[in-house]
Amino acid sequence: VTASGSWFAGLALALLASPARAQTASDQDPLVLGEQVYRKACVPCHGVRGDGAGPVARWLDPLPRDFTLGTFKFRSTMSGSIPTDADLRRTIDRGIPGTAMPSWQYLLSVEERDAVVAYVKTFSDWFEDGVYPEDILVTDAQLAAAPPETEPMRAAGKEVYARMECAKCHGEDGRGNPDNPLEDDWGRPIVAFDFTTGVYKGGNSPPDVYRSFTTGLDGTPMPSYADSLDETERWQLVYYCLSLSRRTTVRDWLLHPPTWNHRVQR
Amino acid sequence: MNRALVIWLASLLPIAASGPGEAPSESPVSAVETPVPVDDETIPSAAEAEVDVSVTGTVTTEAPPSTEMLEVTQDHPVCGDAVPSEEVVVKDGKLANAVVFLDGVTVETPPDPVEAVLDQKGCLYIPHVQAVPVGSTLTVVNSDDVLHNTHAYLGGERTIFNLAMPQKDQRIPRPLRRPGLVNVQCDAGHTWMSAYIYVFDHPWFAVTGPDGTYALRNVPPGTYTLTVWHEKLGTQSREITVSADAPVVADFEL
Repeated sequence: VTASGSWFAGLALALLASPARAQTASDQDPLVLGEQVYRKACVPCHGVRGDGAGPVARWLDPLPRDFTLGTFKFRSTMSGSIPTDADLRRTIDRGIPGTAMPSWQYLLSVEERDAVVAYVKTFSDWFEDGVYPEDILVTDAQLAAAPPETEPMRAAGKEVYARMECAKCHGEDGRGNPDNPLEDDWGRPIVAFDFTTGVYKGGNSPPDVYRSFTTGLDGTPMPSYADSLDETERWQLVYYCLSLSRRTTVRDWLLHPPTWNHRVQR
Repeated sequence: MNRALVIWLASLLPIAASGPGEAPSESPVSAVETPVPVDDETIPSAAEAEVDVSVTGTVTTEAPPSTEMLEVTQDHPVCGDAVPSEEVVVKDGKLANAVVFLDGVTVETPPDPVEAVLDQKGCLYIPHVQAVPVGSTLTVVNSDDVLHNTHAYLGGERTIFNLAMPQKDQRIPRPLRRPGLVNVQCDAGHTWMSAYIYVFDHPWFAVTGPDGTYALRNVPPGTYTLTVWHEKLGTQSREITVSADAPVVADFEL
């Protein structure tokens, strides 16, 4: 995250402080409440029209999400599908590490966060049909059934990494492949994730990484592996990739120093 | 199914990548190789056309055919050193791979969906251009022993699917739920790969064959805007009036 990014996010939080809370009423239409909350908390970055062109957006990198296309990175659904309400709530609750998007968990009530989810969905007609049940790829039950992390799992994950040609974008060492320049859906240059940073935008718990590998990150070149890997293989890959950012000895730190802010990770 | 619908569905066979009769159970190779060629026998010329052919014509151009070879920058054992550009396919001034359709029409019941196929073979998409009704299923096939990252956008901006396809003979069906122009590219560094799938919410569309001709069938009498689209040469529209007695001949020069 850029310094200015944090500063503006902080300003947004400060502006939010009291008034929205005072108006909270349980009998309110969620969209009315959602709009109130959105105008106070979200507009500075995401803009009045939800197009990601708020007044401070120009100082942020990565840029705030444009909601009008209904394209979202962090989903439990198939690539190209809209996220579920729970997916949007998760992002609002946690924020997005490595970006200006803060966690709202302790700043907005549950009611306010649910209302703003409903309001964000009004910016794109892609939400009109709702989520197709067959598009849901990752369920809580699946995540709860995660196999334990073991050394053989990580070793197998390394093979999956090679077989899936992850190195094509992420490099043999997980730090990216400069020979393969990439663009996002808006035509802006984008750098493949550097696994050694450990700063996964969708969250760095194994279920979070599993979700991203399964669904892909829409708006970026990261594709869905739902049809290419079975569940066990996905968990193996998760544990291997997470191990790339693990530094337990002085030797690890010397050989693999962190690459914070070497490049902007979008 | 009434007769008109059957004829219309039959008309899709040479036009779309594959017709509705192609079961997904066919082997990947035959499923992708058979539907592609559009020869002169399968599209009736204006002279042979029956009454159900309402609009017919030829798309011509003075633009030279694309002759350049696109440089292959990686995966040479599978992709070769260069692939031919498929941008402008012209023979004797007749333009292939142009999509001709009635613009801005709505129908109460959308046309029956089809099973369409997009193959990746020799690091090219086959077919390069196809048109299908909305709600159809597009089965994406990887016939190459290399990672393809099949990324499709609607209207040039909205991702509708983004699939990693690391395995040879992998097949992934994806629904085409919204009408519009879908373009496909490969994010696995195969920057030369491109394909177009035009998705329509009405049945009156066609892709020109190698002879530049097209035919729209069973268009109800009326006045319409007829539009042609080509990936490189742009779009052109004209007004046509369809009557029940004789087919309208509407040629385009792009």
